[in-house]
Amino acid sequence: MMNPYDRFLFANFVNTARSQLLALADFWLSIGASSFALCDDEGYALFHRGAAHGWASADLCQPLTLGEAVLGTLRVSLSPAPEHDRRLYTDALLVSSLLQMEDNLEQMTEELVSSQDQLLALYQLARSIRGVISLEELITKLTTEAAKLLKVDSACLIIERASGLNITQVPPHILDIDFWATMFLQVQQRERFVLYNHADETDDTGEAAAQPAIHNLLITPIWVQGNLIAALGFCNKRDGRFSSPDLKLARAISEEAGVQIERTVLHQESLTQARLSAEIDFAADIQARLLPARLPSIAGLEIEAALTQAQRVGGDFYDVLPQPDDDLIVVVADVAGKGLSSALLMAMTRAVLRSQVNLRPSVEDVLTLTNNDLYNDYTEVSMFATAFVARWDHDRSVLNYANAGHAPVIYRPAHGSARLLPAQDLPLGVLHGISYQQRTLNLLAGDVVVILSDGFSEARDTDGQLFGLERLLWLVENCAHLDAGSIKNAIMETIRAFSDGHPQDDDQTLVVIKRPELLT
Amino acid sequence: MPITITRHDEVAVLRLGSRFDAYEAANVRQAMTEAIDGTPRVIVDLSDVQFMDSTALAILVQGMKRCRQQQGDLRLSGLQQPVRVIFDLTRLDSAFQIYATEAEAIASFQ
Repeated sequence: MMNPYDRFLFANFVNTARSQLLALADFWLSIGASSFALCDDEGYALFHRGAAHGWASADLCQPLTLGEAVLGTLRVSLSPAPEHDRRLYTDALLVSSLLQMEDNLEQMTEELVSSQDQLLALYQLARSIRGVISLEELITKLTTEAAKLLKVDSACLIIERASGLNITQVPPHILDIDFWATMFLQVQQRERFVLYNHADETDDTGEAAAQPAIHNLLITPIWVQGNLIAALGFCNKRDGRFSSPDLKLARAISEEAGVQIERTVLHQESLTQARLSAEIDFAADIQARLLPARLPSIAGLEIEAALTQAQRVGGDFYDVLPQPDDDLIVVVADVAGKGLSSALLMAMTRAVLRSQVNLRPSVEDVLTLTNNDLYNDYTEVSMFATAFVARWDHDRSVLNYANAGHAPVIYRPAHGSARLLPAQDLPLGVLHGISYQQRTLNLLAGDVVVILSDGFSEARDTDGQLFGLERLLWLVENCAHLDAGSIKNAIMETIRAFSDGHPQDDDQTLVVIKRPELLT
Repeated sequence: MPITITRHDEVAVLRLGSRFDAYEAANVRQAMTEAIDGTPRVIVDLSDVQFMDSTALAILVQGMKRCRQQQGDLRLSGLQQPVRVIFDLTRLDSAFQIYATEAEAIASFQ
C-alpha cells in the first residue's frame, strides 16, 4: 500500500513531468508500441498514450522506485525484444530519478514552510510572554499560546513544584487532572514525548485510548535547568492528527517554555531569597541587641565575653546582670541546633531566665523554674538547651553556680591545673519537674573560670579533626596567667587559627571570669 | 553507613552510621519516627557512632519523650568513648538507660 504522501507525490509528478512523459510516449508509439502508460502500485494508469486499456496486458513492464519503495510501473505494449527491455529499463530509471528530485523539492518546501511557521509561532510566543515575571501568569500565557499555535482544542502545562504538581489547562476542566498527572509520569519515565493518534493502529499509550474525549494527544517534555520537571500537553488536533511538523513545533515551544520557566523561577527565587535574607538580617540585628552592649566593671573581678555565630543567627547567648552590692549574675546558654529555629528559642530562654533571675535569689531555683516553664515549649519543637547560671557573691568572693548540662566549663585555680567543672544536672527541657543543684566555688586571686559552648571543643580543622577538650584544657592552662581579656582573645585566636579554612559548624560563646592577682 | 532498623519481638533496634550530626539529622529523625510508629520500645545502638552534636542529642531526647509518652522507652547501647564523654558532660547519661551492648539493652525490655 502506498502511503498518502507518496500517492500525492506521484499524482503531482504526473502533472509536473507531463512534457517528459509525452516525449517518452511518442518515442514508444513511433517504434510501433500500441500503448504507453505510467501506473501506480495497484496497476491504475495515471498517464497513458495509445490504445485505451492496452496497459492492462502490457508486454513490457519496469518498476518505478523512490528510495526502497516501488511506487508504480512503466508499461509498454510492444512485442518483447532485449533492446526494448533495456530501453524501458533506462526510461524507468530516468522517471525514478525525476521522482526523487520531485520528492526532494517537496520535502525542502515543506521544511521551509514548517520552519517559517515555527519561527513565526515562536515569535508570537515570545511576544505574548514578553515582560511576564510571575510564574502563574507565564503558565497561563504559555498554555493559551501553545493551544493556538498547535491548533488544538486544549493545551495543558504541567509543572512539578515543591508543593506538588501544578496543572493548568486551557480551556479549564476539559480533561481530568489525574489523567494529565498520569501522562506526565509517562513522559518522565520515558524521558521523551508521548504521542497518540486515534486513527493509528499502534497507540503510544493505553491511557489516552481509554478517554473517549481524546481523539489525539501529544505531550512533550520540558527541561528546566537540566531536569525534566514540566511538560506541555496538546489535545485534539483540529485538522485531524499530529504530523511530524506539529511535533517539531511542539518541541520548539516546549524548549522556549523551559527557558522562560527557568528565567521566571530564578527571578522569583532571588526575590524570595532577598526578602528572607533581609528578614534574617533584621533577626540577627535584634539578636545582637539581646547580648549585653558592654559588660559591667566590678572591683575585684574581671569578666570578658565573646560570641561568634556559625550562621547569621544562632542559639547561643550570654548575659551578665549587675546585682545589688556588686554581686553579678552570669548566664551562658546554648539552644540545641542552629539557625533561625534555635534563635527563636534562644530569645525565649533568655527572657524566662532573666525574669527568674529577678525573682529568685538562688541559681538552682532559677534553673528549676525555667525548666518547668519551658519544658512543654521545648518538647513541642523537639529541642533542649544547656545553661550555666552563676551568681558572683562579692562580699564572700564565691561563685555560686548551677549547671544544666552545659559544657565545657573550665576551672583553673591559681595554684593548680585546669580541669573541667562537670555539670550536675540535665539540660533544660529534657525531664519535667527535676530539681537543679547549686555548687560553690571559692575564687582566690589568680583563679580563672572559663564557660564555653561546645562550638569550641567541636571546632574542626581542614582535615576534619576536632579541637577537643584536651587541647581546650591545655589552652586555658597556658594562658591563665593573662588577664581575662587576653585569655578571651587567646582562645578565640587559637580556635580561629585551628579551624582556618574549615567553615564554623556551631556557634562559639565564651565568658571568662578571673580574680585578678593581688598587686604586690 | 546506612541506618538500619531491626525488630526483636516488641523491641525495635535502630543502628546508626558513623556520623550523627545536623547533616544526618533528617535521615535519623525519619528512621526514628518509623521505629517508634512500630513500637514505643526502641533501642538506639551507637556502636558505629564516633561523633554527635547537640542536634543529634535533641533527636534522641525527642525520641525518648515520645516513647515514654506511649509507656515505652528509648534506650541506648554501644556508646563509644567520644560519645560517652558527650553524655557525661551534658549529664544526659542520667536521662537515658544506657547499656554496653545491644543484647543487654534488648534483655532490659524483657
